[in-house]
Amino acid sequence: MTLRTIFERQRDIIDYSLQNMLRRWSKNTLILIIFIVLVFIVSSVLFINGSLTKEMMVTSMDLPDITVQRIKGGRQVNIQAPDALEIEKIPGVEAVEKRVWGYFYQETLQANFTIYGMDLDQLEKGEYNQIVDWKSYPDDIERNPDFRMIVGHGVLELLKNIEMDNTFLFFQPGWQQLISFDIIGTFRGETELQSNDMMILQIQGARKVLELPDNEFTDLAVFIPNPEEIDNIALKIQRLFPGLRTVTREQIKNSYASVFGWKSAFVLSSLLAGIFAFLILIWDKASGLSLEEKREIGILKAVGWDTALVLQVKFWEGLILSGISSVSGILLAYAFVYWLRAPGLKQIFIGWSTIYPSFRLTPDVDFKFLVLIITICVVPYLAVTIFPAWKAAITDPDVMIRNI
Amino acid sequence: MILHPWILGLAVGHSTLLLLFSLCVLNAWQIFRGWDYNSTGENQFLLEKKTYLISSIINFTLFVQILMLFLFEITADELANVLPGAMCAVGTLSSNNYGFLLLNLKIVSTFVYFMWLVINYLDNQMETYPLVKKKYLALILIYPLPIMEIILFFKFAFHLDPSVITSCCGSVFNESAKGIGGSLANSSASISLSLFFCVAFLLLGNRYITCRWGRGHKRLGALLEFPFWILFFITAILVTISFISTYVYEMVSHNCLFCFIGSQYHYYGVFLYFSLFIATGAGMTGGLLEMITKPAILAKKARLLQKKMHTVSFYGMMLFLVTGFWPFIVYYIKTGRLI
Repeated sequence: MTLRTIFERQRDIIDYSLQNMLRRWSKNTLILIIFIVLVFIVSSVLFINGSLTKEMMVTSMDLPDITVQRIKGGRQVNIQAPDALEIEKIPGVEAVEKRVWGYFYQETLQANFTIYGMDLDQLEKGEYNQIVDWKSYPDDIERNPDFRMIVGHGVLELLKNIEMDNTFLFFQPGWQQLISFDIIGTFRGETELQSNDMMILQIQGARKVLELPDNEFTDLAVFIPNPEEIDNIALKIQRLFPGLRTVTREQIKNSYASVFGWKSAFVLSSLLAGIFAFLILIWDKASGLSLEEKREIGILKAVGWDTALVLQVKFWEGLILSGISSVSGILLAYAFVYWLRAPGLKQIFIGWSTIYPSFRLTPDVDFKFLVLIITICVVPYLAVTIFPAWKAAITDPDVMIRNI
Repeated sequence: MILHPWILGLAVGHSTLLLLFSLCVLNAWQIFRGWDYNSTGENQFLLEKKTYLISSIINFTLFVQILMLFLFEITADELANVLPGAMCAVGTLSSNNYGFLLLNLKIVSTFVYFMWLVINYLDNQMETYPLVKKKYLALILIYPLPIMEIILFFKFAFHLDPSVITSCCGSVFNESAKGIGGSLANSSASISLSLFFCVAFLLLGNRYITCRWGRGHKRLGALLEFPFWILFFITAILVTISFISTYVYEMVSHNCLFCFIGSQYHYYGVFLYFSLFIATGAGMTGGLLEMITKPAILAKKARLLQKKMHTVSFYGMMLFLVTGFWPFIVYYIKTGRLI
């Protein structure tokens, strides 16, 4: 048989399978719909997982190489200034940044803001110029330079509700009076993932709000130019200062990837029950041939079709059905995740906070997801259809036609 | 143990495979026991029908097996994100004792399924199914392969510990490293290249001589193809580690077998390994087909199929050579020197 005749023969078989399926559309539609839903859920979970992991990998580039915290009684406490000096002396360390940060809970809004202390004068000159929309104020009012801040977009939207989008009043229990902070700028949309719940305060103001004494810091960020040295220096810090804990960027990345993987696998495992039920349905549908179908196969065999040919028809039917469902399921999932931003599913992955960014997931669709989707959805489906297909194909024509 | 979508996918795939294979072996056993071509009883009739089931299942199994080989490599690559210290598939595979073992087993079983299918195809062309008992016995004998695979897979998955620091490909295939990977990389490019081309010329020379000489030598030459192709596969992997990879990555120190499979290198590895697998699979099967001598009409058909296999393996080898040495040629033309 030449290649051409093989090709033509297969085309005829496909043609027959298609006609066959169209004639029994009511039976196939149900299977198709369930199949599409299954592929849709599996691929949505994988797409979200893929994009979040990628997003996290990109963002983690900005993380410090090592974060150093002081641990006392198993809990994190403030770190002292001298520690930073000692760490800076370790060969290989380029810089140690002393960080001042914490959270502020606003009761009326029931929102938690992330507060970060920085020197805002430096920011105004530096690279932040491009990512911040600066506000200008008339200069006639006396303002305290320590009480200024830049806020994220999400924060500003919330503050508008309580009409504090120009100045925000901080209050902590135990204070005699409120402290008002001027909002001098907001972060632009493209930094939403990191900046949405952020308030960047002038460092002295931040100390005040966080009630952090001078000479103490929340933690240290250590920067190391040579990535090969990171693990060794982390080890060195732990040896020199037994009271300090080091977290490297690699560790943070791994644990995030672990968490995303764990979450999606958890969703998928709960879906396995659904897949199993679907397979039972398929088995049932495929083995219980209707009288008409039986007669049809009987006639086909009577006019000279052999078992292998009937099997091929069944195989093509399965392949066409799973092909259509996979393609539509994947396309639907793509639209759901990247256009509709995966309502309902995304929350499982990113957390629960009220102010969490409504960021758009960037598409990261790879050939590898296709392999996984096929393995989870299509392979079990085809496997389940083999036995009933064979059972239908081997029955003898006389038995079928006479309806025994 | 890591609960991860990829691990889950592999678990689903392996379970499906084993389930189907078990169904197959059950029927194969019945055929093996009760086959009698001259009988006209109902039982023989049913057994003949069962042969269809078995060939459909093994066809499907081969397809899934190839898919799983891919999936396994992708999984290893993906899990490198989760395991500390692992930078690509090698790190994941070597994070416990089972990873590379499982990969090797997978490659072996892919070839075995392929060869079984070709023999099955040949046998099905005959009305009397002369090989039926032998091939179903073979099927029962290879049943341990999928069982071993699933055991190794679960051992591998359970022993994946996200807190163990693993070695990355830089250190596994590093020249100063001890162990098999290191000594493979250490065998300098010139040695592995000459080994590889020796085997390749041996293969082609053997074929040339076989074509020219008489019947007796012909048989020996064709039988020799089987071990030669295994050697070819091993030396090809060796050359990939010590020579081809350096030119793909354009780095002397990077000798990884897996990094170039992904989209980062435009799926270069997919083409490379595809041609290698096709060549080796077809070549080995060609050697195996020589063992079929009785009955004469089957032997004749076997020779015909053998010829086809020889052609396929030849073109596969050429494709491998072109794909494998393309980066080297491009590099040499661009820079006018070796790495």
